[in-house]
Amino acid sequence: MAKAFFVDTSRCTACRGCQIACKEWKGHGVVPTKQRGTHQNPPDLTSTNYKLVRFSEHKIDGQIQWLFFPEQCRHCVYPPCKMVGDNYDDTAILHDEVTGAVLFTEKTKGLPFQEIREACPYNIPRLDNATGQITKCDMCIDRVQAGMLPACVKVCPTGAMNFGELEEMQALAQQRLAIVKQKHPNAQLLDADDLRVIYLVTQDRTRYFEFAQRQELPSFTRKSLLAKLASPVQHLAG
Amino acid sequence: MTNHWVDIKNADAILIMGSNAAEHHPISFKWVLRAQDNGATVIHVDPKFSRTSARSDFHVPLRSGTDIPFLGGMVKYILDNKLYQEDYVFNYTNAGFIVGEGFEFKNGMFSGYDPETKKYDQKKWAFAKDDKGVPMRDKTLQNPRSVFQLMKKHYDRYTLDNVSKITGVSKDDLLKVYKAFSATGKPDKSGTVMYALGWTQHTVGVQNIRLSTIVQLLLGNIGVAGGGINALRGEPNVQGSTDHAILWHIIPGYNAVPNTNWQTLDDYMAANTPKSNDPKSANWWQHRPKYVVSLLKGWFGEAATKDNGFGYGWLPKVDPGKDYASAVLFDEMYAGKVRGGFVYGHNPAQTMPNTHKIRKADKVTELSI
Repeated sequence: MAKAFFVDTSRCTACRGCQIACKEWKGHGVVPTKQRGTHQNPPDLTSTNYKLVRFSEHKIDGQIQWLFFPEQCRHCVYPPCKMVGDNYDDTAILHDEVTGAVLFTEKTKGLPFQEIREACPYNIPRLDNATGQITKCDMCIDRVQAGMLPACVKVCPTGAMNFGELEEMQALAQQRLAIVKQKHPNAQLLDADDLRVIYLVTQDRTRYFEFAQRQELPSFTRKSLLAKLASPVQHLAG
Repeated sequence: MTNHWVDIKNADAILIMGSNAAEHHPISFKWVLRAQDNGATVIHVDPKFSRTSARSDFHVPLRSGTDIPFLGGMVKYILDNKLYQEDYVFNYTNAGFIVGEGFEFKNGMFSGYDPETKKYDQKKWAFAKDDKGVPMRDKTLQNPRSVFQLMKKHYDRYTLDNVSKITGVSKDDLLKVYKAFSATGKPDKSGTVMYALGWTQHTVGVQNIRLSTIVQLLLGNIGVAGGGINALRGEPNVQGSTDHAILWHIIPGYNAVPNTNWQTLDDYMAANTPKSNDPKSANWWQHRPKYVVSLLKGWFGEAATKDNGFGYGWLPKVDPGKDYASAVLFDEMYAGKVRGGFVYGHNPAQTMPNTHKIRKADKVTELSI
């Protein structure tokens, strides 16, 4: 039942179809962009950009490597943002039991934004100044509940974006990793056990962008999260 | 495109040249990556490193506009190393045909050039024919006047040193591409060429593409799954220009546009149906009457009968010898000779050369929609 994404960056051509599809499905308006010498636009996630294709350039062993990373919320198996949010209002951030989606409701208005953002190991939450809500990718929960694929997955022409049952995606990720490793010995899956968005990268993860790495915060170790989430009351909140 | 998009997945090598496929024809990469999954080598030859290069097995930058020497070097490499498919080349190309005595190539010029009109008399390059008018052939491909031997001589100059000097590509990189792509010159292998406006929009656009045809024919890559020469097209007026006959000189099905010299269907057929005395020639366009009648029936339905030439008389006819191409059309608008028109699926004020003139021409007309 639990769902997952598998993002195979080795197949990404950075067409940014996912970024556009996300905006269109959500009905998000334009944000000002600027020529900054990269196709990465806007430069960062915003309260109306839940998906962003990040570009980074490197010269590795004399070869130019242009790395693409379609970034989005990882929908953690044990989401630290929810844990922090629950301290204030346990109905503000929901963890959907069926899909595993981590959902920011309009009640996030009442949560301290900086704390929520800092709790995220991948720096995903953004504040919508107009509404006061904290926003991010919601796994296209409306589409998924209706049996459709998330917009970003539906639009992807190359098979970089995949979505399905967790076990299925985990198996696909392992299968692709074995193949991709033949060409890219440094290929790896990023924090696959902790997330519902499994990334396959071909180079060392530090080469992509700052938050391709997990920012491990001492107060949010997996153990403490497990302890928190074991409480039945909080589990029901999802 | 000689093949269709999905067929790209069947290729064993993909040469992307004059195209930034991943960015401009993103769906093509769905199939390029499928081919790569199956072990195909994806090669991007382009001055610029792009997202296409990022997903290719290797990217080789070349000096802009030097595609002809680059491919010419590949022709020589294929010939020198006998990587061509001999059976294919003899049976399905004109390599064995004997070229008539009138053909000559000297000091960079072909025979038949008239400096006054700056045009070639192409009749001088005709094949030698027997008494039945059938081109003579040499099965061994050894006759010095065979297309094959003349081609060999012609491309003799495209040495690695020369090509490297002109293209700015290192000899190692040249060989890397030549080797990877000509490995498809085997009956059980195929390679495809993907090109776009990076080839067509050069002054030598046609020559770029014809040269890729020579490469593909030598390797036996035309008419096979995963082969071909694939012009990547997206916009309706590019693919549609041929398929839907949006260009002025043809009607659908690649048939010539009727002109006033061909008043009846019989005139039209006589002028456009080729004849061959060669029993082995497929001469496919001998079937043109069937295509044209079918088209006319499609247009006019039951009103198209044998007695009325299937309605051919109702078709508008152009003046023979007159050019109706869009560049000429705007010239005439500019001169006040064309007084109105409908423009759709196209923004000439932005896409035609010399936009100032186009915009002025547009103002001269009385009706522009």
